[in-house]
Amino acid sequence: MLQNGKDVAGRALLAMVARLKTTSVVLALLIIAGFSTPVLAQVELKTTVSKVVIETGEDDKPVRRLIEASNVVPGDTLQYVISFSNKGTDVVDAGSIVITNPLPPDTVYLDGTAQGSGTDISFSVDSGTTFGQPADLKVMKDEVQTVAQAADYTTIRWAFKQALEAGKTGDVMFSVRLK
Amino acid sequence: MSPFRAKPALSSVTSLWAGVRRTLSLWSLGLVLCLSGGPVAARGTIAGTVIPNTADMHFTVDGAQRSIRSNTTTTRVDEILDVVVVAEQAEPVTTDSPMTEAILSFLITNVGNGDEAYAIRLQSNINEGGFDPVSTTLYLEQNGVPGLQVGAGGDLPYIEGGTLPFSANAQHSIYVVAEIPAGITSNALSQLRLRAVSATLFSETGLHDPDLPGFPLPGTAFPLLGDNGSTAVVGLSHSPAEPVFFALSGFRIDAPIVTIDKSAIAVRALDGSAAVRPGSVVDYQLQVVVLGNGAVERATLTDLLPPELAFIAGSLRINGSIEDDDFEPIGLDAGGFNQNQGLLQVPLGLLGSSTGSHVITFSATIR
Repeated sequence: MLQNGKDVAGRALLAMVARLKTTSVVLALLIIAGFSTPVLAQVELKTTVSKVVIETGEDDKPVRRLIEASNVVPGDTLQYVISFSNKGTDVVDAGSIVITNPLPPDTVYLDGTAQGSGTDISFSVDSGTTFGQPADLKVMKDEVQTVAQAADYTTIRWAFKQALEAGKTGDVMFSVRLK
Repeated sequence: MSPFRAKPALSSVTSLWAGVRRTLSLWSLGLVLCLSGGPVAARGTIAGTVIPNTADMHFTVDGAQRSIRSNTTTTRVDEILDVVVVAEQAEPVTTDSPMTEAILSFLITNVGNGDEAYAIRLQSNINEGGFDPVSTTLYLEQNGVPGLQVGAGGDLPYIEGGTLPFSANAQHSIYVVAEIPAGITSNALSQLRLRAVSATLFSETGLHDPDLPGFPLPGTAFPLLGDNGSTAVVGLSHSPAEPVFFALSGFRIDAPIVTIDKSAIAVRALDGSAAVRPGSVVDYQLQVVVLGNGAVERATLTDLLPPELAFIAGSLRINGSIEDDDFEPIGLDAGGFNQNQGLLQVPLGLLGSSTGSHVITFSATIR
């Protein structure tokens, strides 16, 4: 029984060593793969929010100013900026970048405020299932299909035409009014 | 006359609200939106709500699909301290003088975006050239029956100094029951101001009167005192230029006032002099004038002559016309002189400011 017991213990030890070897090989492959292609963290996406205030400037002309969104009440305007940067070494393919931003809850999109240099901007009225230009978006109101208004939009989408070279950045923005 | 006047017609209330809307439209889009859906609509996103925002980005690198997600920004909605008080009578309520229970009604609406307690305060001593009520009592609409009902199952007395909780968009009706003093001339006005003072504002400033220095302006912030940990912010209803957290209303005396001016216009002694002595004849004139609005019905002038005077038969004149001396039930009318009682009695009928004055003359001999 003792001899038999040594044999069992030896086989278990051999099996464990075999599993360790297999795990090491997998880890090594993953490390190699990580060095050969850009990891996700190399393109970063960041959103910031500011409160828009209108102040009276020189010549009594209204001046639009951004302040910290720390005291926000219904009726206030908020501006969101979505910034992205390619911190890797590879180029992001031209025409491949698409940013989508569902409009924050309890807000209404302010018409004409979506901006993004070098982008095609489209909107959705069905929570991002489909997108289109404002004139093409339809909604049902009082059982009648009508052209959607800014208040009907649920999601904004920006499609970039250009590639994003390594080290380059960009941003898009939009504004809403807090209900 | 019932001490409880009818509530104002709905049309007058509606027109008043329309006026409020026009005023508010000059201030802020926010308040306009809150009032545009009817008398009062929801003010907006509830205080303390956290507004998140997250973006997604899809792209390819060498044809390989990638997706990343941004950080999530969060924005907490602050609480606006906004309340609108509306007098439900567009014009001062007409009342008699005296009147034990003259009533005003006000509608108070929390147009802020959070739950807030408000202290209701009445100011009734703001009259310049008018009059103040003897006393006032407040009632809170409680039983759902329009108008004030007092007693079991009726509306509740409200003790000034306490606070009423208002959820966002909640409304309460307040009745002011005032005792009107006697002897007030017609058309005299009494102004009352009902305020709804935010408990948060009062606890932080100790002020409830907007006329006092230091009363907070719109935009004044009280960190962490809003709902759900938000900041409480004084709203535009407290604008010094267009405040609507209080409302003015009042009473106007509409009772006609009858005045009687009696004078001895001539004394004729037996010797032709004007000496006042026994045997002299005194010509009396009574002038009856009605001041103010309204009319007096079935008015009768009476004048009890003292025993030292003897009425001279045939001397009675009403507005210059001869009136017989007979007194009911003997005579043809109710006017005349009752010799037994020494009482002059002249029926004047309907009296009003438009009927002009009445002049009654008679003569008496000094005994």
